[in-house]
Amino acid sequence: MRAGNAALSFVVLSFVVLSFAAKAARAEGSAQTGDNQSLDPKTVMFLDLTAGEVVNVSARAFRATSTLYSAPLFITMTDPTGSAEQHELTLLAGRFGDEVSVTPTSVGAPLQISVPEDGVYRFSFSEFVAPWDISVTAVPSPSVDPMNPEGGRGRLYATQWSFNAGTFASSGATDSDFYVVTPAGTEGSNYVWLLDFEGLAGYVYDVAGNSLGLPPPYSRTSQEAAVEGLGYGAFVPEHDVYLNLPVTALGPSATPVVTFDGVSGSGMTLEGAGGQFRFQSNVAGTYQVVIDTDRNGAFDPTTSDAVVAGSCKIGNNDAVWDGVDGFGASVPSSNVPYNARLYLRIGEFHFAGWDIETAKPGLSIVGVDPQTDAQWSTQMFWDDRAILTGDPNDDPAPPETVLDGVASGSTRHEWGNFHGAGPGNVAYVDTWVFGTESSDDHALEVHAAAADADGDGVTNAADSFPCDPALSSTLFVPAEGVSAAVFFEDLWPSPGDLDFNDLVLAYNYAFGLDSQGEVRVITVNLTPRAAGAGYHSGIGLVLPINSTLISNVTRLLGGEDAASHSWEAEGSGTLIRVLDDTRDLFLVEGQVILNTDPTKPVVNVNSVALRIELSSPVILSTEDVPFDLFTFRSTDVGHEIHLPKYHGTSYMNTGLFGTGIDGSIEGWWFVDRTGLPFALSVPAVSLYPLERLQIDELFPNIIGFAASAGTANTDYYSEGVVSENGFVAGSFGGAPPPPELLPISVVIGGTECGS
Amino acid sequence: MNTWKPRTQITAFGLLLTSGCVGGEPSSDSVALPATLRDVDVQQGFRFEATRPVEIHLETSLPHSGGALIVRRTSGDVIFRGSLPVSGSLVLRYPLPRHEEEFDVTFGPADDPRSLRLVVGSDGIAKGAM
Repeated sequence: MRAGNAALSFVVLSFVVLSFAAKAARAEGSAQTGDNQSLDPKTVMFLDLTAGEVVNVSARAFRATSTLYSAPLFITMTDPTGSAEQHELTLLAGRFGDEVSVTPTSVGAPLQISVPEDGVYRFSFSEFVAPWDISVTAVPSPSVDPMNPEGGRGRLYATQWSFNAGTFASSGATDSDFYVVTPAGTEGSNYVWLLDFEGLAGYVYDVAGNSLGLPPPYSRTSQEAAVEGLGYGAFVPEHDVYLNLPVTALGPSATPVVTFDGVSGSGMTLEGAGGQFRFQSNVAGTYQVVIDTDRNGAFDPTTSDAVVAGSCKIGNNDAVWDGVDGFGASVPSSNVPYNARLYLRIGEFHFAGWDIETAKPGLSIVGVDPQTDAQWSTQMFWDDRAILTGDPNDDPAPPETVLDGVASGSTRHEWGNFHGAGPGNVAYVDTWVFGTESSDDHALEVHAAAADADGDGVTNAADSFPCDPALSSTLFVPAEGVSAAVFFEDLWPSPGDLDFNDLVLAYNYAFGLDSQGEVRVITVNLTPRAAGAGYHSGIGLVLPINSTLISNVTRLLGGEDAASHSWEAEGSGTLIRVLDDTRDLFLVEGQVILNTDPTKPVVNVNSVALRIELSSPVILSTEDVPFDLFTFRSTDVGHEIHLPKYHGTSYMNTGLFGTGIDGSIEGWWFVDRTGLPFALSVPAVSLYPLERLQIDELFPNIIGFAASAGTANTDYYSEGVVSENGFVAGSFGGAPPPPELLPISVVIGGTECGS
Repeated sequence: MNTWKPRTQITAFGLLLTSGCVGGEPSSDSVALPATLRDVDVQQGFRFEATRPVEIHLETSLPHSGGALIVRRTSGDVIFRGSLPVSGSLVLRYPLPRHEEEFDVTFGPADDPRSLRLVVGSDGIAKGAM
């Protein structure tokens, strides 16, 4: 990892408190947005309210005439359950008279709505309004002061504010401020950015923020809306935008750390096709990979250097590069690696103003410390090269600040000149900042697609493992990134309750094949999703491969702790005792019934994965996957339960056959006397029954499936499902754990390129 | 410029379960189903398998690997990702859900890929269609 010196100096600078005058706390509405900016009714506003609080609404329906606009005016409130109700604003309750063009300092008769329950409520007006105000008070009051709301912090927010100022001229300009809350990488932290307009004249315009700006490949640039895919709506609002310093402001607490691991996927980056990069992040944030394709020693997105950008999560992340440089040309293969740098950022905020013709003297974005209300300067960036008009009176100077940025507060992003043309006309003008960053470098090799690096006869482009002569393809069952499941009843040969949830085991198999199509590596991903049983049970697997052909077995728990694992001969096959007690994978202590009882919390689980290496390639039919995947009592390994076409291992206590309700016959084992099995293979991840509910109450079509010997209702597990009889959530909500699949690069492995 | 011209011959077929693995006749609408699963008299030999094995043969007479090969299920999920074998023949025996009927196969060089849809008919035989 490369230490982020630039980032460090940035952090020190950024906390220099600026001498901006702190504005008095005010209510929410035209007092902040400007009385000359009418609010578009498409704006959806939000308030997080407590039961009993009162929402005070005042507004004037706005039309650009001096005549009284007498049409009815409503505000629609949608409660946390989604139920909407309309409230009319009248001259006696909430409606300003036509003569009121400036937000009054006091309102005697606002429309007052007392909310019955806690939660987030949505609000929208039925008409353009200006002036307008929404204040929250703890209790009903005969009058409110909309200029001084209770608490002094902003509560009203939207993800997109839309306005109509009625003109491009300076008379319609606004000096308003907005406060934008952006994630800071970890729970319980955020950045608050003050979006400070001075002379912003957009006529009809929106105010919204997100973390990347326009969608790739236009992220972090300003663009004309005429570019394909960049019409109105291309900028996707993401952040909550407030009119006052928000009550939700927390401040940052994490320092980002990134490790650029290199190339993932096939392990090779190809000319003309690109590749996939793997990196690890300690925070959720945004990333940017810059490849110095012009080899000038600088990581400069404004040149032909290739750029890949996106959002990332905590942990491993993959970024896909299409193999082209910043000008769209294919990056040639070379024996000399290209230098690549990966930046990880938190708190990134983009204001990509839509159709804003003028910002003069411009806009600035500064940070706000929620503890002290102090404002701090940061580096502010823009890249307007794609929207320049050539008119020095309209175009921003400088046209871009991509590499180093400019100090916000003292510098503004300025463009336009109060007329209907200019660089912002029908364009997105992106201005952005971020909280802090980390970076790491990697030497990136680009290989020729038609070459054969591992010499196995398969070209790099066609080889899933281009640096491993033993592997070239992967076969998945049921499919790549998809799991199927086996449902077990564990009481055989005693009667079961047929809820088939005593063990619900999701599986995915991947077979690494060599250039001849023969199997060299097998990986088995297993995730127990439920254990609705009193017994403790283990998991075993018999593979139809002679044990002498297996050279190594590795077991991973929760994707980690890889350790050698034992195997033994089982007839002509191989027995692997995967796990002695499945409950070891459930992340809870003392709970007996796991993920089948909706009155109990959902329990998360770890997966278990096996990597089975073969000393010699074998031809293996995958039609019988999941093979003989069985369960056994943890305290009585001879008490096994298998799918009905398997008779048990050599450890099986065969004395159990013929006892209780067992109806096993040759070729058809572990069934009751009516032929019902105690293990059921389902070729998809589906719902499974609630505790003690017979499986046909969840899957009614299984009756027809069974009665027809499988010729009817073949999709019984996905059609006609009575979902209320399946386990969908625990007592605190939350779905049962999904199957966890490890990346092929981890479980199949293969020789890494460059090793 | 790709000069790879397929003398590739692709055939595909599915196999019914071997004798004795499938039993019984489809139930008709006129026959009332049992009320619950416990009341079903499961016909001997039926193992409640919701999949059937389908065999796909991919054959080529090319001297070298002809490029990438991807096989997808009806859902679009990838079941095979890699290359045609150097030997020129690949046989996949795959447990296909009984109600699914198609595979999509994409093969050949990246700049000149070919696609084929394999349809598994009611007779259990998969047929290719360009």
